[in-house]
Amino acid sequence: MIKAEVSPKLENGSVALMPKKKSFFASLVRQKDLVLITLPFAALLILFNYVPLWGWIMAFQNYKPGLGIFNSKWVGFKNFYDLFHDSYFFLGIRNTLGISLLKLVTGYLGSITLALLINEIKNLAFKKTVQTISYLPHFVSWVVVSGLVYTCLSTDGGVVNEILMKLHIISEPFNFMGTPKLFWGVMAGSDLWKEIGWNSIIYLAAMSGINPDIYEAADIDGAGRFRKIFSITLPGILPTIKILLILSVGNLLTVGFEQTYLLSNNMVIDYSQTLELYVYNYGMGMGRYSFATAAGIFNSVVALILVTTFNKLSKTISGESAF
Amino acid sequence: MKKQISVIMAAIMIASAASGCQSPGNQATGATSGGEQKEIKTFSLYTMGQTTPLDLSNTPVGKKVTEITGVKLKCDYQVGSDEATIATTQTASGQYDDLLNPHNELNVYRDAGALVPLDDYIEKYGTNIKKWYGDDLKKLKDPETGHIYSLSPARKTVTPIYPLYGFYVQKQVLKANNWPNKMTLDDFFAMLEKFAKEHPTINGQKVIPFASRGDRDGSYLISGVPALLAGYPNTGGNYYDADGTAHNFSLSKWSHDYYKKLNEAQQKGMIDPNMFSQTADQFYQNIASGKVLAFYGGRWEITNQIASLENQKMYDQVPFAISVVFPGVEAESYNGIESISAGQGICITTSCKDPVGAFKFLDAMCSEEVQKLVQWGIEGEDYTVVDGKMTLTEEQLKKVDDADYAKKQGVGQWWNFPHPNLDANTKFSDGNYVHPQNLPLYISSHYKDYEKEVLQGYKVSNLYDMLAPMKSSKFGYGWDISIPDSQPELQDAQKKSGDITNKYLAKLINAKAGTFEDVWNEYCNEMKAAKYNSTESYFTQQVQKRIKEWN
Repeated sequence: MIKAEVSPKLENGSVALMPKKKSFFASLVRQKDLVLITLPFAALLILFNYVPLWGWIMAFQNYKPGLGIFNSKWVGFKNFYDLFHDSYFFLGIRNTLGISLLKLVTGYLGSITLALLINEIKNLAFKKTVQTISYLPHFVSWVVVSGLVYTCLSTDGGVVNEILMKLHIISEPFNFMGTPKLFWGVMAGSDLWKEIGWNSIIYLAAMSGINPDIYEAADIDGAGRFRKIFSITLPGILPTIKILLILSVGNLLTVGFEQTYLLSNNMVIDYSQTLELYVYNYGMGMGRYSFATAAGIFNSVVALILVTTFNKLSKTISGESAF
Repeated sequence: MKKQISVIMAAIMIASAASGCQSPGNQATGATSGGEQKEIKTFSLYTMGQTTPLDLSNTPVGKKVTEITGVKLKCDYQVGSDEATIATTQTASGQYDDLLNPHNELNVYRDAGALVPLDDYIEKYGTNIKKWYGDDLKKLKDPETGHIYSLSPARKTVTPIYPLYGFYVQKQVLKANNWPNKMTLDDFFAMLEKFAKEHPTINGQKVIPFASRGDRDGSYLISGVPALLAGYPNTGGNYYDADGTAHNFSLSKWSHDYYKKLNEAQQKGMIDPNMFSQTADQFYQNIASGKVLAFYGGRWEITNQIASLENQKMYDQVPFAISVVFPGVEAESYNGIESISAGQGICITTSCKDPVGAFKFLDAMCSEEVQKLVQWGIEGEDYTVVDGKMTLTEEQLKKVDDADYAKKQGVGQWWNFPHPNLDANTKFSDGNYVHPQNLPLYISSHYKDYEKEVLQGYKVSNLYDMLAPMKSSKFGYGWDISIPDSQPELQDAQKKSGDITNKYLAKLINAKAGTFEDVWNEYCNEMKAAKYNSTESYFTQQVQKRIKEWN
């Protein structure tokens, strides 16, 4: 959905250069080169992002793969009715939003802080090493990471429990993976560990775009490191932060299926059954494709509403917006 | 005579090798066999659930099968996606391989009309199939349409040399307690407690007296046990009266008592603390490390772990299955039910241009000549004939257990095709066993020294005899009955109650002292709200239908 919103902006941008009230076709002809260049991408976009929407019809049917869309029975809004009358669905929403918000907060604070810290390192070799090490986990699959998490948090010689016991903070091993209320924390924590370095790259790029003259001027005025961070670096990357925030609001309802599926277990299921897991278990898992599609539509609609409202909000408050 | 045959075979092989250069289509010309023109047909075969390469027709045994049946197989196997996804994509496109083993997705293909009913073909051409399947044929009828789609390979198996399921206990524990069996639940846990107290560590690792898989897919190994303790065989989430009435035992006294016992043991620190917060791999790793004294499970799940214990020479830690029952229970049924189960098997699809030819091939696979090849292998290489009796030399005995060799040779790889019952009571017309693993010679040679000690301890000649033999049943397994898509409410109730049970198993077993009954009541209320037993009537109806039609 988000990708779909980016390219119209480009077109809008170029259209804005034209004198107003000029007919649409005249400007189309004048910009035929540009139009030709964007045509393949627009085609791809339509093919992969809009054509599949045809499948949404399934949500109003009792879809059976063997019968296909043309022969399946129409059931109206029954799938949506079932969805909204299932207590597990609302539990799923709660968990999804809980985990998402927690991830959003820790992810943002973490990666911005890391970017600020890395930015302050003057030794180039050390800076590069730290940066590389911090973004390496991004390339490790969740299957491996979930194994690491389980091993580290194990009560049977897991490194976290060992450290806490050596420090005499706890007297016997604590079962992290078996404590329902800690599951959101485990999700946010493991995501932070995996993605912090990767997410900080974009902020580092934004920081390198800040004019060095401003720092020099601040030096002359006698500003210290912290003053420079808070008065120059942070305001310098604020537009980036805002745009990324708006874009990620659209992903609030997607927690990351792999991560949830691999980390959850029977003991914490009350806090780990997210919308995605719910759709997988009660939709696809039971061959209820229509039901799963209905849940998918709900997801898309909510995401769309969230992004547009947030964008509007940001536009009115600070004049910063993604589209 | 033999020489003549081999000359002819050699001629066929050369000719078929030469014809192999031609187009691989259905019409490749064959060789002269006994003066008449024999055509080699090629059928494509898709095997669901087979995730490693499979090339049946290019093995030595496969080539001989082609000579006899005149059919070459182009095998395809499952890559990438899961079965459900593949089934959906294939049915959406309507393009299939000629032959298909739908494995767990039979319903999807059936509903899409992809499968050719075999009933008429069996009547007309199925001489071998009728001979080997006989009365079992009526059990293969699809419950929805009443047609036979595949000749199920899931039949009586070779003589087992180990119990299939049971409470597995380390050999040293059994030995220290003078080889107990058929214990009560209380005695069983008392035995584990005592042993763990005397031996707090094994090779420096802290002992785990009792463990179980508790992950998402493994919790049936806890929730399915109560009926076994009460002496009933595994028939899924229900047990059945003699007249076929289904009873869901999720909230029965059996379940209550078993979970309560586990809860008590947990309070004494006897249960693996990570039981519900570890992956299946971690559980199996614990078994392989030899620190778990006992658990409930199946032999087939832990063959790698046992091999690992053997490699470490930790023979005392190898687990053996015994039975545990509630007090007063006379007969146990841990080995379960012996039956044919409809479902997977090789089906002919509507894309097959020559269904009659394909069926004739399936029937030919059931002939004695081919069966000897695919079950025993090639005479002289894989088995020896002495006075008309098929037997194994020392060297050939080793080949039977060598999975790599079997795959290369192509022997024992044809399980999905129609075949006779493989048990010791089924024999070829010349009196030979249908499968080499039924030879008493094979069974006795199979046990290793440390296993022989257990055999002596229990005074049996086959470890399988430690538990009651598989039972016959009027309605088959019972657990193979699934709720169809036409009953979405029941499907939902079944799924939800299963999930609730999964969740509460952890809560019940980890309940703090004195709170077990409260958690149990909470569990009962949630189960009742999810209408956990609304499925009983459907199962009753299906089982009673089977009892009526099959007997």
